[in-house]
Amino acid sequence: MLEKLLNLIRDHGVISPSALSSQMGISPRLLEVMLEDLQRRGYLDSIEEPEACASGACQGCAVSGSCGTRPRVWQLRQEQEAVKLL
Amino acid sequence: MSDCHTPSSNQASVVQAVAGVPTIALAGQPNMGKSTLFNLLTGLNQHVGNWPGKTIEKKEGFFKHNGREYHLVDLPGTYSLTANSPEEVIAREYILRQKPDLVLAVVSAANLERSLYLVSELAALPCRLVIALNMVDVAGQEGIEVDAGKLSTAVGVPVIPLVATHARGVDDLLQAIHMELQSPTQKERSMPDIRADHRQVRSDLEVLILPYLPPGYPPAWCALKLLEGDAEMQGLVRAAVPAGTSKQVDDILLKHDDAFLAIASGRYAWIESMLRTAVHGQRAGQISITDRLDRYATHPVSGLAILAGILGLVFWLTFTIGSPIQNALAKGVVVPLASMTGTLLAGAPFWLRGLVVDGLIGGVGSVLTFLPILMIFFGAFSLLEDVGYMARAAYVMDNFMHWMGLHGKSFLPLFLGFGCNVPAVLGTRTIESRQARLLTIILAPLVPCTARMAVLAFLTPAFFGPNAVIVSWGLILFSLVLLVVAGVILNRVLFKGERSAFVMELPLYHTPNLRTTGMLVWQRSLSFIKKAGTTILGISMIVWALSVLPNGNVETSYLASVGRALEPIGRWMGLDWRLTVALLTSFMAKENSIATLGVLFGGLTKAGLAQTISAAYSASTGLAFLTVSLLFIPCAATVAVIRQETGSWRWTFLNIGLMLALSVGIASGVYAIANAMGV
Ligand SMILES: Nc1nc2c(ncn2[C@@H]2O[C@H](COP(=O)(O)OP(=O)(O)OP(=O)(O)O)[C@@H](O)[C@H]2O)c(=O)[nH]1
Ligand SMILES: [Mg+2]
Repeated sequence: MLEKLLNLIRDHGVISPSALSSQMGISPRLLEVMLEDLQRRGYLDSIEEPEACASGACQGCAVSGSCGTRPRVWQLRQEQEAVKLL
Repeated sequence: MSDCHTPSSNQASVVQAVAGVPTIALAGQPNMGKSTLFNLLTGLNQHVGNWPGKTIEKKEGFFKHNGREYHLVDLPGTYSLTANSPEEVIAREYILRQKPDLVLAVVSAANLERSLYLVSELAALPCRLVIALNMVDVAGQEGIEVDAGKLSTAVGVPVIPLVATHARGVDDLLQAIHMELQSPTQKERSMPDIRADHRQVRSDLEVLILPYLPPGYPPAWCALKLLEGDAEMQGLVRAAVPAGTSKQVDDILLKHDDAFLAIASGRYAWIESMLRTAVHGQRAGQISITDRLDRYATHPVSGLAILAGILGLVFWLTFTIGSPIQNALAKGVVVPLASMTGTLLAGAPFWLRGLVVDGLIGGVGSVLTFLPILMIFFGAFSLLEDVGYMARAAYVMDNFMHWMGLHGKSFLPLFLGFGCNVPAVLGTRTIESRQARLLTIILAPLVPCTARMAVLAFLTPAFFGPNAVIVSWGLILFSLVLLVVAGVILNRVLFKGERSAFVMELPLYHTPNLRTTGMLVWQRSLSFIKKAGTTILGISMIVWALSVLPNGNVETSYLASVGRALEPIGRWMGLDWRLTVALLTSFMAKENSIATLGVLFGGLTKAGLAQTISAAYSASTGLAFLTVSLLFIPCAATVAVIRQETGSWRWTFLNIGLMLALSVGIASGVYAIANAMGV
């Protein structure tokens, strides 16, 4: 299942969890658990929340009110950098 | 593997297990309700200490049910039985070595997907197991129905529904525990599949390590953990086996270093089949609406068309409703106010009249007339954000690139800036090469963020009047095309076509909350008015002062000298000294350029700022001015993250310099092309 998931991500370039879960035929919740697991294991990197927004630097921005809802993004690690399990 | 229902004997604990009193261990992931259940059962009859050598709390206690006494231990919350954290080491060591008579797995009915992973591991251990299906109340509220009977049959372990916070189901649970402890045999359990080749490897490993394992560890389980890449287990084995064996073990593990994926996959497949059997209802309605909409909204082609359409619609709405109001305010309020004040102050000193009429009313007043336009623009974007659309923009752009066969390494970080540049800069963290990263950061401000688009909404009507919609829409699309071209070049040159792949969460669509949107628009308008009363007022005063000093003539003023000094550069873009100065003041805040123009043209106007300006400049000049304004230096927050991410001021300033050059260069090109085309 995880191999298939990684392959799907690799083939799509960018894909949303809901598209992934429907292609895998599993529930979005289970997919989320699997993505987090892959992240913990070093197969995916999570692109962090913009902590800069919390620092108050965005105060000057007229539309900063809308940045609470940044989407979560994971990036597939390159093969050669895949974390060795040993 | 010895029986694990002999009462534990070697516990170094204050609450000593009494012979004949069975020990029950509460296992589960964090926040499943273990401690709630523990407190409910033991009440005051509990002891809180620490796990040996750790600062992690250890709770144990006694309780009675139907005259029988039980010893209860609350284990720390653990995601799995792999040693990823001290909690996980404690929990598994306790279960394996202290051998409680029964493990009570506490799972959440509202989140079985997550909770069953641990169960899939516990089920494979040789100990008695009962599942407490907690939080059925939460599951019910979310429309999730878990069939405990089916789950029990599927796993081969008793499953008892429970609401620990309301003590609901506790009697059934205790009855089931009693029955399980009494039953002489255990039911056949369903266990996760392990691939045949890994089963073989596991038994090879098992044979190798068997003679050296410390007592209590099931060899098959240890072998599997080794294969999964469990660092703690690898350390333990390495310390226990002789060098030769250690080498053999390492060789096997090296050959199967991807075994984790297969083993965990087996568990997920197991979880999936359990869910399929026992769980019904998943808020399906909402998800399917989102999926249906996203079929178009995230499609590489139709998604792009929708994105362009939405942007056009926002500008159309903004200008169709906002511009007439803006003009009415300018002609109906600012112009009469200026002339009235002018008459009133006819006898006042020259400087006072100039300051009030040109500086205050011309500058701040002009800026304020744009408030209706901004309010509509803010409202439209708040709605888009609230509905859940904004995240799709980055997705669509990246998807489009892939669809074109451009599997670029740096596309997504770039597009992530849609709405705000800060995440675009942060997104470049995924790029390893420093050089490539710095260059990608430079491109990040090319992404049209909402604030930049607001500036467009602000300036375009002043230059283009009725054509503002098509011009601002075209400019945004132009900057997107620019971004795509820059991305492709970057990818060819720097990344040599390296690929990368992303999973990007898209929020569910939902009906917007008009109250929230209204509040947001109100707050932003307020803060804008406040800004007009402070920064913009200050800038207007300074600009006015510089425009009359030293001798009262604008054409020979200090401001004109500054503007004229920079005019050679301005001329590339077709800007006269006034526009050059206006651009310069937008360095601090984009709306300053309006104030500056208001001051500079304030005295002359009979028709309001927008119409005066649109009459004063050619379309090609206007286009170049808007282009350079759109691509100019990013906001302070973005500059701050650039500093943070590059870790150097030199790079930050270089970055700013490059962006200046880029925006001026492109605007010059736009001017030249527009002229050549006879705009
Ligand atoms: N609605 C509801 N809430 C519950 C239920 N059981 C526990 N909770 C709540 O869930 C939260 C977590 O409960 P805990 O008992 O602290 O969870 P835990 O498993 O001990 O968590 P860790 O110690 O972190 O591993 C608390 O706020 C409880 O009040 C339940 O059946 N229904
Ligand atoms: Mg607890």
